Amino acid sequence: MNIFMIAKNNIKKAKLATATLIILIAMATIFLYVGISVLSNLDTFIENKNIGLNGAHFISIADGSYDSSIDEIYESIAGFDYREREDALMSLSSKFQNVNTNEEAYAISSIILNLDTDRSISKVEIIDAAAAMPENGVVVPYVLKVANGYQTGDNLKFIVDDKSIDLVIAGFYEDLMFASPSNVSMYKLYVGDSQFSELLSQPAYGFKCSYSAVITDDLNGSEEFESQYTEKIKPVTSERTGSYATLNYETMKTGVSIFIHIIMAVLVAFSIIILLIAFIVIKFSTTTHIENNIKNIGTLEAMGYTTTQILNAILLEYLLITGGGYIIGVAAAFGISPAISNVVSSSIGLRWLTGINPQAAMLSLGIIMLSVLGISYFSAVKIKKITPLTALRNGIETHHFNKNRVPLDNTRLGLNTALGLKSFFFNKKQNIIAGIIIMLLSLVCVFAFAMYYNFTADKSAMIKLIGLETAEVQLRVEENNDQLLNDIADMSGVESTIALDTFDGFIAYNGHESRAITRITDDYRRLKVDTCVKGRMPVNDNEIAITSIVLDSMGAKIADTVSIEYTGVTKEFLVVGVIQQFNMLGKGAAITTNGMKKLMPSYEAKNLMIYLNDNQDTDEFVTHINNLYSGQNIQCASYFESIELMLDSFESAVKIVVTACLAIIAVIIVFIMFLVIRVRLLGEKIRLGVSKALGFTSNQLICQILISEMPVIIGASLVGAIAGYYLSNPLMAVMLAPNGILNCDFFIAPGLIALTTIGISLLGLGTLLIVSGSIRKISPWKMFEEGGN
Amino acid sequence: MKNTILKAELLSKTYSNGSIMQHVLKNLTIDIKAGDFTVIMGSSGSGKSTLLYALSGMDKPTLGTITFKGQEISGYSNDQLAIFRRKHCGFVFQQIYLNETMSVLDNIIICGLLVSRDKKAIAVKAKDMLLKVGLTAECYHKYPSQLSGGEAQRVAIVRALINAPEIVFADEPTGALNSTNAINVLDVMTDVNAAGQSVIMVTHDIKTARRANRILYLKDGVIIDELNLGIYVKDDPERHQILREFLESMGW
Amino acid sequence: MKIKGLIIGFTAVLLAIYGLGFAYISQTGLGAIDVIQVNNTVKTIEKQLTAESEGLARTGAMDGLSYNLVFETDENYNAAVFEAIKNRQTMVDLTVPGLSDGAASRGKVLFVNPENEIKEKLLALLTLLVLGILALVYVTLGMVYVWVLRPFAVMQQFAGKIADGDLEFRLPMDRGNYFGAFTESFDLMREELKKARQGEYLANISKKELVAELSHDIKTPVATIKAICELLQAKLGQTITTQTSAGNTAIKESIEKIAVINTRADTIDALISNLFQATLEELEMLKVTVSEQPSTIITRMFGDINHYGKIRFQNAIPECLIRCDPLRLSQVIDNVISNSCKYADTFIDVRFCIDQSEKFLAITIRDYGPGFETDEGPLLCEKFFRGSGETIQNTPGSGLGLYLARQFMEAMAGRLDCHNNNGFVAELHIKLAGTPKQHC
Repeated sequence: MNIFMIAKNNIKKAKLATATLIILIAMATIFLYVGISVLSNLDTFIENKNIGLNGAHFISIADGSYDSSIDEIYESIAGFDYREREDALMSLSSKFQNVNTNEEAYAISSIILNLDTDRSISKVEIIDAAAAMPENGVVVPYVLKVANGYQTGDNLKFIVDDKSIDLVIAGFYEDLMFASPSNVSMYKLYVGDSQFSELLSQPAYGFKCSYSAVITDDLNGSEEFESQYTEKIKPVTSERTGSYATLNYETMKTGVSIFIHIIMAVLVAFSIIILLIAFIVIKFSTTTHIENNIKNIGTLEAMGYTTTQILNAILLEYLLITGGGYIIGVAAAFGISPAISNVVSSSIGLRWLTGINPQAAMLSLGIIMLSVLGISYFSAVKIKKITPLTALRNGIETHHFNKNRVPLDNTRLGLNTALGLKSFFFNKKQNIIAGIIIMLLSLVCVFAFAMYYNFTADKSAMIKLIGLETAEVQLRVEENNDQLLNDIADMSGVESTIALDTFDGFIAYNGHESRAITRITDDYRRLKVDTCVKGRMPVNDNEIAITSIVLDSMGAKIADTVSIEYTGVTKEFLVVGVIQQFNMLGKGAAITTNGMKKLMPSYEAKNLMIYLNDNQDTDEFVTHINNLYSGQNIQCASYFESIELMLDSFESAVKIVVTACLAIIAVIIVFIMFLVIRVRLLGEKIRLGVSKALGFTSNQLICQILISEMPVIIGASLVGAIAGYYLSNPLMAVMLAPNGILNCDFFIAPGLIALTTIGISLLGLGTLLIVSGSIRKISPWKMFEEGGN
Repeated sequence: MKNTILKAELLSKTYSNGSIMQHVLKNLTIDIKAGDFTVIMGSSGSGKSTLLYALSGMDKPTLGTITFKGQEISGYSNDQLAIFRRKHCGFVFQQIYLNETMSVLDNIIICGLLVSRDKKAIAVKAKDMLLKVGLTAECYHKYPSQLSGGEAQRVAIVRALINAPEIVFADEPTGALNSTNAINVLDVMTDVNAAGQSVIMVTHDIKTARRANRILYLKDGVIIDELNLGIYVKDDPERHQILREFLESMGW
Repeated sequence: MKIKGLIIGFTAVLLAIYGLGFAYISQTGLGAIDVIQVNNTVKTIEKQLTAESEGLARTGAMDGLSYNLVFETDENYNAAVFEAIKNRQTMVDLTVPGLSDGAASRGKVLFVNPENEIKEKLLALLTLLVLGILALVYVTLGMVYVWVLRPFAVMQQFAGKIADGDLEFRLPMDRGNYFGAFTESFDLMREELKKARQGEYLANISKKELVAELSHDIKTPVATIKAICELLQAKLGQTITTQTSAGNTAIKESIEKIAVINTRADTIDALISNLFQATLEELEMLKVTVSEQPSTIITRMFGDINHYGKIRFQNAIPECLIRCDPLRLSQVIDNVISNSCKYADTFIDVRFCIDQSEKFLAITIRDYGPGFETDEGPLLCEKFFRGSGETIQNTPGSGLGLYLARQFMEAMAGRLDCHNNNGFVAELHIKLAGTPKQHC
């Protein structure tokens, strides 16, 4: 009770520091709570969602002619429970355009199912269902609603080459497997019975295939299931055709949550930075509190308060502040929960519901409380040693016998500059603290800008991380045709072509086996995107480059010899390089065409990457090719566009995070400057009053304060920005390390250093001017009176 | 015969600064009787305040023992001393030391809460006592900066008395006040003493010293003599004369 | 003890150097050949072989690897291969694609061991090792300087000081000093010298005291002479008036002579007084500087001489401030305790007591020995007095201890009392601080 009174009084006394702390703690709470609640719930959320819909554990899309052998394979794999098969229409060169949202047509391959088929696996539960299913109604993935703003009733144009059909969105469905184009760049769409048969009847829209969904005994064995399936299907389907795609639950789950994991990790990291700043503020305000209040502390001790009680009062003060900040923070977190839901939903493609998460709330409360109380205890514990007499007599000795760094008698500087510099040196401790905070913020600022730029403006670094080629068009042929390939290479508008195939390889080393999507091409130097981070790409037929994830899982390293098994043939390869990629969860490898020929002598390249000239329109070219070779069994589709589409889905999330970070940085800088200057003004009231009485004008005094503070702001922001310039990429790499990324190559414009420094300095200058403007209002006499009490 | 309430034996206080030792109090032995108004006088630097703070448990003596009602307090820890002070001691300082950010009433209540938990009862008691020292209801919610020096000192006295201590320690309570205010404050102190509480006061003002019934004269950390004056009588010229002669003989 | 640390440190540093070298060798892979380079080279040669088949250079270098080619068709194929094996050369089969799998070996690529590289790496390693050991040696030499040579320098300085007669200069004995015992004996030597000096000094003092005593003794007969002179002058003066003139002149002469004797006696008296004064001043050399000290220092003083654990404290020392010269007080305690140790050799009980009214701290030191002869009591604290008992006479001693102790105690405004009570009892009365000056 009595301690409470003291604490209340302390808070009342230091309103500004209290406000700063409350805001800092509120911000830290928002980030920490959101980060923790999303991170902790994501896994169970996805799992529950999948259980609720009885989502497939494994999906395979294959040519209908293999149905019976595929069934045999299913039966032969341990853990197989049951499967459902239905017909589907697969369209690789499909394009979509929502007429109502005025978007441009974009290319993404699609698989269309019959909505009216009975199914128990991956049940379709329609969200925002249209009142009545129109004839041309289509049910689209939920991600289109949250990320692209599609609404029920919108007109969706389904385009293949120069033909198109108008569909009407009749609702949205959720399915982990096809949740987000960032994971599988293919839309799964459901249309009504009649529409389905109409589409099937027109081969121009795509080909009929057999879509089967499998439920296994063990949800966490789906990856294993897929690898066994791929291995067994190879000898069945001739020449790697016929089995178009396989998907498994585990991979998809990891895939959809990677990005949100990164964002939430950034949030948690940011909240820790804010907490650090809060600690510095606490340390600073505790010390000033004790120094300014030493007489009161002494009086209280004389009256019979024990030092423990006074210390407890200080702790209670911070407990109250933390509590207040925390409540505001949690309230704000609920307030912004729609935005959070949107970010999470758009990145995982499932409807995320933000409810109250007591565990996350308790955990963030615990983290914040413990750290705040700990830091305030350690900065205030020294009052335990102060006896009432020393407190009343002299306070804590605060004499400064520092070296006189700017002697006025022989300085050539102007009077204001000299006096400003004097107080700059005098307030060394404060300046260091403010400097550290500004430095941290400046670093974060550069990092945020760099993220923003590389996710939105220039995505090449991101693409390099993902590890996909930037070819505009991809062409698949069913059987090798050199003539055709050469013809295309010679076409006008084509800059270059490169044959780039992939296959699902099994790599073994020392008894450890790992799966990797292995790329095959003749000459890796011709690829536009270099994913090699160590060593070199393969050149000779017995060389291979592997991602670090695969290497680590096998325990192999560069210069070791691994073996690859393909359709019964096993060959040895020498690891000559390490590559990195986001794609395929970082499980990748690369060998040369000759190397592939060792595994399969009859191998011929069937996939062609086509790079177009700058002025060549991609869609036009795709249509042209498809028309030209309409009789032959080839598939031509735009390639890079779909990757960009996938990156676009990140863009909004990154935008929100970066904007929030920048806004918070600005707020913190303003508050810190406010705090520092207010404390200085209070502490130097007498000096300022004397100066005024001596004839210094307000402007001169403001100028002195500016000169004493600006070097810190400019210097610290510059150092922080430079540190950010050099540290952003390593930081990003550390954050992405679990995904097998060893180094990042984000572009950070050197101008960003100058920009950040100037921005922060201007912000600081503005704050300084506003705060120190209060000098004007105070008459010298008043300053004396208030300061001298 | 009055009972001894506070007793110091062979009390010494030494401040050491590196190898230089300064003995401020030297083997002081005194008894303070319950209900006495004791004034400690002496030239500046003679150790008056040091003695006051050592006796009150604000500071620990270097050597020697202090016993309060037979209980030795010189070996107490800082926290034990704090608890001792809150129960038995009240303090009035020359610099007043009211908490500037608390109202008059809160300044008193915050001390009252150390002993009692009943905030309302304390407030009632505080108001009553404030009235007794001549402070009316309008100043309850004023802040110390809005009071005159004398009023603030009277508030401080009420704060010192709120827990009904056996002994009130005052370190030159009138030192920072003008003569009218000083007389007011001294009257309050005299009333306090008359009500049975012991007062130990440090002063170097003869008018203040006149109020005491026992005057100790300190020189170089030693009590060189003491004077028993008897109960204070207002405007007693003889009393003043005796005191002046005593002080003159001490080399005042 | 220090040696052990040195040996351990030396070993640790050597081991660290060894470890570093070991790690360097294994990490840089002195012997290992870069497999990737080898593979690349072989593959390139194979390609060239398929393209040109004949006329391929038999030797070459690629990626910093030198190689020789041998074909199975060569006459000296086996000789070349075995020669290569002898030289531990790396060799890889040359296979030509196109021919049926497996037995398509056409010959071998023999890689010349990159000896130069090995040499370079070895040189680097050697330099590293030598530098490391050199550093170690320098550090050791530095330590030797600090621990061995510098103490010598200190000792030299010490010897110089002693030569200059400064016996108060203690030889600093730090733990790191290898010559602990050595320097200690030096210090003992100093102590002995100091003692000799002290003895000389005391002898000097006793001479002075003799002079002082003599002068005092001489003063008495001189005073008698003067008194007699005055008596005679008075008596003779009276007779003058009653006697005849002739007798008067004789008497007058006598009176003049007596006056001369009187003035001469005065001169002697003055001279003796001066001498006495001067000697007394010289005796003042045992100066006592009184200051105010906490009584707790006494506990330490007893502790310092309680070598045999014979001292038993009856009660704790009361905390107070005393007026004393800590050095002299410790000498007093030392003298009293060592007397008890020498002559009684029983437990020594120490009791403290405060006399509030007299403002004294009393320390009672008692042993349970034979004590002293009762009639010798008043003489105990006289200088050069030694008891007449057999044990006392057989124990070496100067007879100065208690004398000095009393001198010191009195100089500190205190007192030393000795009496017999079931043994020897010494009572030290030390003045409390804060006693008003006029009472002293």
